[in-house]
Amino acid sequence: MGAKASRLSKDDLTSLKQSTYFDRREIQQWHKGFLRDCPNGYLTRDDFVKIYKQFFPFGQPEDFANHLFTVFDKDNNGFIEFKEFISVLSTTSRGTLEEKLVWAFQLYDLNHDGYITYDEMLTIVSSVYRMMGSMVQLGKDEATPELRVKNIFKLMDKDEDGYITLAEFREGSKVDPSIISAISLYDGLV
Amino acid sequence: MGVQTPTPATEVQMSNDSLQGINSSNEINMTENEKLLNFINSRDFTLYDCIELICKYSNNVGIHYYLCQKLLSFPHSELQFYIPQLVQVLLTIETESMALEDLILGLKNENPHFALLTFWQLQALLADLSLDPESYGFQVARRVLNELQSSLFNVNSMDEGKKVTKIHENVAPALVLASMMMSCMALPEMAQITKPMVESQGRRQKAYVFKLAKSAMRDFTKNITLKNTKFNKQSFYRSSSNSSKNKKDINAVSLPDTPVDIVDPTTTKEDTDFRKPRTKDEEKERSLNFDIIDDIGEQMFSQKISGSIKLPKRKTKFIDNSYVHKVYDNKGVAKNEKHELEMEEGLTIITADSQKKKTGLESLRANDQYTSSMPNLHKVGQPRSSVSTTYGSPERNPPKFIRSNSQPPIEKTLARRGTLSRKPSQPEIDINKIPISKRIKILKANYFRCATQFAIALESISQRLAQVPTDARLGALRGELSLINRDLPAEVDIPTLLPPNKKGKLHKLVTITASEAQVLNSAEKVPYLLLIEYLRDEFDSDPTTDENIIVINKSNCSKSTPLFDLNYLSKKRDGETGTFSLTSSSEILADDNMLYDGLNGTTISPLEHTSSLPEVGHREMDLGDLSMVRVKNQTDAEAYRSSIVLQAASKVPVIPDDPSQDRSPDLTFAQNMDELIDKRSANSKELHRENDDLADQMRISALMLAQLDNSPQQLSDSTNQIRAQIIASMKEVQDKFGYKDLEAMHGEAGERKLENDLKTGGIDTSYLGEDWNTRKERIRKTSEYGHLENWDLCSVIAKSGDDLRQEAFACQIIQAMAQIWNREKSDIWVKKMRILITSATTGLVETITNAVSVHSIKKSLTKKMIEDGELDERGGIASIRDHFVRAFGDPNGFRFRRAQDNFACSLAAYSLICYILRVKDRHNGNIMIDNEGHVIHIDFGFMLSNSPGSVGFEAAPFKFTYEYVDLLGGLEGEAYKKYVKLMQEGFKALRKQASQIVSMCEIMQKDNMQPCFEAGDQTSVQLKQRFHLDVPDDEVDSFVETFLIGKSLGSVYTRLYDQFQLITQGIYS
Repeated sequence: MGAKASRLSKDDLTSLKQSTYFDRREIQQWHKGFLRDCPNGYLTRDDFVKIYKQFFPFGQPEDFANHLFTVFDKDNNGFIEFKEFISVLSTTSRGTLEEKLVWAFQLYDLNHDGYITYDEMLTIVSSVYRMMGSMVQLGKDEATPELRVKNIFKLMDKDEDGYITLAEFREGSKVDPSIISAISLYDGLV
Repeated sequence: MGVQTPTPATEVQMSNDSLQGINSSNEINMTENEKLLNFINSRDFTLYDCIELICKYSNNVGIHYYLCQKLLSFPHSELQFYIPQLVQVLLTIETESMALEDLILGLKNENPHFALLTFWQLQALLADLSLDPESYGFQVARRVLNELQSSLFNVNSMDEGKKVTKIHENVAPALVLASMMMSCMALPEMAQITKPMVESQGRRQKAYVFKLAKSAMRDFTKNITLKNTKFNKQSFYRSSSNSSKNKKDINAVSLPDTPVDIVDPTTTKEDTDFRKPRTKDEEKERSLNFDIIDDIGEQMFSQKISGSIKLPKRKTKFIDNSYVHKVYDNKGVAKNEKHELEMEEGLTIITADSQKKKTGLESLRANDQYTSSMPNLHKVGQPRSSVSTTYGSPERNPPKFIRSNSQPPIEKTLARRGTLSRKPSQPEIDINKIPISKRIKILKANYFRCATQFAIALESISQRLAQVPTDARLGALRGELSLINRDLPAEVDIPTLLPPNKKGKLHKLVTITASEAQVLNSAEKVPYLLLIEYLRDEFDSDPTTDENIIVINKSNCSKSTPLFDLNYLSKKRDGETGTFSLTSSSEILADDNMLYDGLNGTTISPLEHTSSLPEVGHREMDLGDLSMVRVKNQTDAEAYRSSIVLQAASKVPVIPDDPSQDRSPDLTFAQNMDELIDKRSANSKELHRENDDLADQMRISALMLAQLDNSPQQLSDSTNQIRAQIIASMKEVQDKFGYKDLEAMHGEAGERKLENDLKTGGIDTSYLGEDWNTRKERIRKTSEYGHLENWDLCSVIAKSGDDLRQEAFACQIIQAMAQIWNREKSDIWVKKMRILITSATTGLVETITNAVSVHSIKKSLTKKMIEDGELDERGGIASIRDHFVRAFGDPNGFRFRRAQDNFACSLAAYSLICYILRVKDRHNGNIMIDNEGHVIHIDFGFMLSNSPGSVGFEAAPFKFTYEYVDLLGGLEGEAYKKYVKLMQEGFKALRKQASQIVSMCEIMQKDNMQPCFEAGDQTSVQLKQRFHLDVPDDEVDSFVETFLIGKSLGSVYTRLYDQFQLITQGIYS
């Protein structure tokens, strides 16, 4: 609960070392960096949204950031603590493709029932479109969130039952080169 | 203009150190930002708008980033024009965003001039900022400068393209990165779009303070630290207390014991190897981990060795920068600790003593190597001594970079020591084996090296000349220049001062016409005029051309040969290392001593011995002396120079040693030396005293007048009376002296003002001087390059010891005004003047060819007219109109009328400029007239908020005398009417763009130490007031006529100021 974690305990460090792709030193470095940016030791939903407003000034990133926050906030306590932060960072930056896809699935599966519905997908895609604002020029067949969601379902929903399961999500993503290259785009940066 | 006050309604505020702090900010207004986006992408969006917004939105990382990207869409020439603003914004406006920094660093790859100009600009600003080394600006400046330097000069620095930069521990970009991966199913394009910004923000580094590590370190090596700290502190306090006096202490700065900034330049590079960010403070933490350090150190070390490249040396600095110790103390201590530690740990095979020598030597070299970007940090405030140091310093051997901040293994160090006197045994590389990208890099680095070294050489000449007796200066100058010529032609040009380049091409300087060079005055700082021959668009960095392959080969095998090094010049530079060995053997000895002394906390070193020599007083001898010491090692160049200097010195007539005479005159007065000396010893003191009295009297009168003018209107009758009385008495005083007397008294001082006229090379022939084109042709005929089609000549003044940035700013803002008028298609004429800043105290000034100051026109014309019997000896002085008649013929003729028209067009420009910028000190020595009749104002030492003295002499909006009216054909004359019309047009045009001009000032005035910003934030407020934006547009015409012109016309103040100048300075009114 927003406990002041000015220092990583030895135990924390050891467990993080095991559960992430970071070594001891990197964890310490990131911890310092985290504390520097968030002296309280945690990020609130508001802070989180504000970061996205900084990066996407010409769009409306609030909805997207809110959905995302929920994924980050594993224990659902309204704060992102360092541990939560570093484990997401580990998976997204150094995880295997499989791991990344499993993680990403959580973003879209809003009610955590293991299926992505059309509405859930539309919610996320719309929020992404709103976040980008006019910054990106999209092809005609992707001009609106609805069109994009249609395409995603065409790609992923193999059995055409109107739901995307995790398995479908993984397979579908892997066959789309643009998704694959986007997933690995940030590799090596962290 | 809210440049520094962002409007909270439209943006998210991000506090500097925490994300927590942003909770309080207002809700973002989307429509506002969308409007902004539309504006940014609109057709009317100018580069300057962009810079303004960059200031305004410094708090919003996203917008800031977008704007900086937008900058790239503007033409480079335009961007280059605004470098001072961009750099200023970078250093003065704190932001979380890395975008501007990245942009400036990125532009270096696109345009070599941009890189050089930024480099010099930063270097100059660093000197100012150094007063507060903890400041944001200083930190940024140093970081960017180091980065620039390492990538410009070091051919082995990582290729930007290949380098995968890890993001540092910044939460925001990390979060965005994570989410981009997760959302890529929704919109894969987004990841690509966001990436550059994530990378950019991820690069942000902040200093961590590792108190723990620091204190552990301190305990660990307490004893050694104590000694060093004590030493460092001592020198710090002493040098800060009076750095100009304590030359010895300042020299201590470059002693090995004191820290040297060789750490930061390598930081970025090592980072990549190290896979973790490091900051200054982290240094200490790392010192604890020797295992890693040695690995990386070794790696770095070998890279350095193979890529050792000579960086330009910065020889001297006039600025008193006692701050250095403060900044580098800690680092240095840490470094020394490290060495000591290694010794204690028994890693050393050799004795501790020689290890110390080694490190000292390394530091010295490293110091040498990096001083070009950190000039002020090392050779601080030793104007004189360092000049002489260049004659006798042990740094003859081309410095090689040995030390990275991590200590290389000792074995290697030892090995290095053995080869010190020779180039590191780098195998000759076949050029074909060098990848193309690296070849380009070598070529570029070669250009930067040449350009910076050339600037340094010019600067050092100026300082050398200051030590030479006045009459010997011209000879010495020409001698020095011929030394420079040995390294010409070289891949060097003069950014901004030469005409624009064709794409991808650069001009190439081929030779300096030494015989035409002129020493400009006898002041302590010795500026001089240079005519430089160059070939237009002669070279590029195409690695496939034959010429460039030669360059690559050359820089590959003789990388460390200094160019334009006046201390050390060998004709057989390439591969000729024999001469080096001799020097370096003595050098090692010297270094040994130095270190020994340094460790004992004394400040005596061989370096100081030599540098303190000139202080003994054998001014003309020191040059010879010092070069004699090393005569064996010298090439004929050195001998040549000393012979020149000695020769010249022997010709100097004995000048009575009179301390009250600050300087002996030179040049024109050299001819009538005897006469002058006589006069001087007889009268000068007395005259001077009288002269001072007169000046005082005038000053008091002026003050009284000013007071009268401020008194309430009701009293006007009586004030007018008093004013009349005062003026009458002033005239009386003035009439006591004929002009001849004034001449005798002030010939010398007046001479100072002739500097500007010499810019034309005039005065010796006719009173107008040789026409520029005639001169050019004459030189072309004798030049060995003259037959080449792209041969050209430029004329520049090299200045040293003066801060030229205010002048440069004036020129820039004047040019901005000229652009405004140009866009309005007005007839207003402005001379484009360009200044190149090469450091806080040096620069090159473009000369105004074919123009002579009104002062010297009047002076020589009066003389001529008296000779011709057209003027009575006491009857006054020639007028500008007399000059026009002489120069352009019949007042009704075409030539005269064209000149008259030119006069009107240019006078309108400078009237407005002087009014808007509040340019003061407008005596006739600062006003020039060219061969087409244009008037050109120069010398912007007093503008915006500073005035000469504290006397409010020049209260008129601008200088507009009856003499001008007379030349314009009287108040009813056509030329006069045109002048008024242009003034009205021009003022209206400026008012439309007032915000840009005000904002240019606003950006620059922040934390700026230039005197024109004396009033601080008020500077731009007052500037804005002068536009009188409250006056409605339809009343502007009459406002200009009555308020501006009317108030200026024949202003009593203007007349007073001219009289004052005449009496005190001998400048013709």
